[in-house]
Amino acid sequence: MSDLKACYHCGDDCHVEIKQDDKVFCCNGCKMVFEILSENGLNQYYDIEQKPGVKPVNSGNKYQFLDNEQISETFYDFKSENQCKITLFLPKIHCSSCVWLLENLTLLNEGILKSDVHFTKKEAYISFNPNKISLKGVTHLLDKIGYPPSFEKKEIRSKKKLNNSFFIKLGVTGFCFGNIMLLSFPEYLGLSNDFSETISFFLQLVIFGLSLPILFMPAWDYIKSGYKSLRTKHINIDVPVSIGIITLYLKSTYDIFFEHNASYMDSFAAFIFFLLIGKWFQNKTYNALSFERDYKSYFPIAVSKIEDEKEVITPIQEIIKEDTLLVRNGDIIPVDCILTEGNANIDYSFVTGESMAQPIELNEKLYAGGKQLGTNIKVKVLEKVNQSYLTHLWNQTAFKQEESSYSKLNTKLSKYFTISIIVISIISGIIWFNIDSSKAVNVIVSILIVACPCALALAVPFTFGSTLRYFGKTGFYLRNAFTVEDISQITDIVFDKTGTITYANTSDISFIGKELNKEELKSIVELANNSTHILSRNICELINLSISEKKLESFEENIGKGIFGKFNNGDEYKIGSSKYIELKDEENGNTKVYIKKNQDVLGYYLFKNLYRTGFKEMIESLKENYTIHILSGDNDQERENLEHIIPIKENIHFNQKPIDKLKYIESLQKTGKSVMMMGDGLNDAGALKQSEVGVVLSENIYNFSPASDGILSAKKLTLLPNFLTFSKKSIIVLKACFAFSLSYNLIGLSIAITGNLTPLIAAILMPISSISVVFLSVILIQYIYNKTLKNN
Amino acid sequence: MEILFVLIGISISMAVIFLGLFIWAIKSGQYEDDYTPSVRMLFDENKPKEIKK
Repeated sequence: MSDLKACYHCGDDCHVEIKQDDKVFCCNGCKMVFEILSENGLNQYYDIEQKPGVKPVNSGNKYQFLDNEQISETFYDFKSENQCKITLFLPKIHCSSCVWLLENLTLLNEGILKSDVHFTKKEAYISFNPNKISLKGVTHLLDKIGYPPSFEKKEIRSKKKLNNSFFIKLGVTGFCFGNIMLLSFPEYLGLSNDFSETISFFLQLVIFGLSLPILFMPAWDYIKSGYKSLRTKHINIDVPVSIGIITLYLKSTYDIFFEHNASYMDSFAAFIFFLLIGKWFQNKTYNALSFERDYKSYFPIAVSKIEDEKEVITPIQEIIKEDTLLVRNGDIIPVDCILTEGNANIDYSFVTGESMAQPIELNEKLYAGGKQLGTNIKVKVLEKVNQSYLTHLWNQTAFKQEESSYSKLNTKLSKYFTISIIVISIISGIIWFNIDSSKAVNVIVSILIVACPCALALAVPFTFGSTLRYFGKTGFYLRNAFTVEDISQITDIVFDKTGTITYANTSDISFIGKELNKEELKSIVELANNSTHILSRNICELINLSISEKKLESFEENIGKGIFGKFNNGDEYKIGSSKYIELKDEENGNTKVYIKKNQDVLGYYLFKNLYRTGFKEMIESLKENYTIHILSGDNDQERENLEHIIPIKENIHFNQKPIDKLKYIESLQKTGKSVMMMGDGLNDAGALKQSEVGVVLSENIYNFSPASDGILSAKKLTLLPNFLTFSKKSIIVLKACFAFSLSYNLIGLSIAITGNLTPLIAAILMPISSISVVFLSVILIQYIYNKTLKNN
Repeated sequence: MEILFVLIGISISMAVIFLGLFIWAIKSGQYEDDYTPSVRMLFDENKPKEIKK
């Protein structure tokens, strides 16, 4: 537990205290945001929530592509001479203060006319005057106060959300259902016997009229879907549903116009209404997350092309062979290319899984997707974007497959159900024909009506829908409700190493060298705090001392190599790689950060892979029921450590390229296994797609992640066994609900076969069966949640 | 009992009006965002102020 003060703006620990007014900040970035807000009278930001700020990270030239008119145009929702409207995705929105600040953006710049925030989607709708501020200006303003926009295609996020037309259908159906039931009351209470013919017929006509909207809107969709399914020679849940709908409707129409009797319209309306409610419950989506991303969302939108000595911002698709590009510190290499100028130090961890950055020599090849850590470099393009070594991965058949959006259990059950119902009705019809032929048709129709799979069709939406919601509450976000079923069937789990089972940004750090005294440690912290490099930050956190008195005089950073500082007592410190401090070192695969004071090398900080807390225990509880595999793109430095943890040593593989991972999963599937892949980077993209369930493990769920079936928050990795148990138990619940609903069908069938079915009985049976099945599934899932996931 | 014709006619028409209002409310985009208005409600009014340049 550290006694460091918390930053007034973002709440992080202040290793070096930066003071302003009477408040303490962790860095100049936070202090600057505070100053901007104070100057513009926006201090209320800090009153609404405690420490609401986000530490601003210098985005450098990230938004340079907005200088290109052609590219900027594609982002506008509306453009006119004096007003432009744009929707921006701001993943850092996280509290009510954020909403307040962003909706008061007009106070920060008079070019901004209006701004509205949609909290759950994490979007801001901004209107601005292009004559007073450009799109790039708006973006930079947002970046400065800690809410950098993320420009990605809107269609990738919030797909498949139920749109307005669904809710209108639901509303109309509910309206008609309620009114039909109301008008059926006399029938239920037995009072309709006192009515005259005209009034009875009038009521039935009104009921018929109310049933028409239901028939033409939602009911028609189910019938169409059932018909389509039959055409492909398969029977899914919509087939028995359609049979039920059609029978109910035709019999009711016949009853109203030819027999002048009470009809089954109330059951018809109830049936459709409950189905729609089920559909609504099942369709929970997470608006601000995306399960569809491919490499295009990770690569930059535009790059700097060098044309006649000048820098031209070019959209990435227009880059062709032989072009010369300029790549800056922190930029992603967009295409396969050759280094022509500068010092390249490439971090391939996201693309190949290698945890250490690689220095590249002149005229050596650089691969698309790597990140440059160092000064600017110039490269010559070898292939277009979609022809690079990495993006070829997306040509695999795994990526062409459609995602499933139906339940396999449900479909299997529907097949047996439909066939048995048809057989029963034919047999009963034949029997009745021989006893009393006038009743035969009636009985057949009654059987088809009462076999209506209302409860059956509700079991899946409510069981999986509840499970989906509980998972989301605990930090595991699934693509859709049917993923729960896939999860329950897996036999093997494959883990990526770098970033998945190890922390991406923290390491196991130990200092090898002379024992450092307090003054030396403080100097190191003060110097390292000035650098934003991940290794410097890790060192500050390790030493964990706060600096109140500043002794550093000058500071110099050689990006990617090291930092140099002069202190007011004459000491000179150098922190960096062995090359930077001019020391010869044998490469042995681990990251080392050396400390040099004046002319002495004090030692080095050794950075090793740090496995996530609880990883070992998690594997212990998983290994009984699942076969565990590790696929890493890194070298086999860690083989020994992993062999202690993973039961079967042959299942650990290193130096896996992205395509190797995909092929491995494929080979497992050929032996009949069902695989869950857990990864975090583009190097896992193929494996994630190929496996039955692909899960991305993410420190920040709103950041880029490759296409997957689920996103698991990194803090909850150790709960994986619980999630797997939950999914298996939810299948048991589903089967229990099926059995329960089938029992109602049996009761109804026995009434129908003996020729005793009346509209009143149907009107009671259907709601009771539906509500009790829904109730059962919700209660059971809640019980399982309490036992497996709650209190974690 | 003939009054029933009139009564049912009136009640259905009234209900249809409300259904129409419901459809209009959905189409106007009111339900696009059902969380942010709850947060927005709690903010203080902005006091008018000159922006320092």
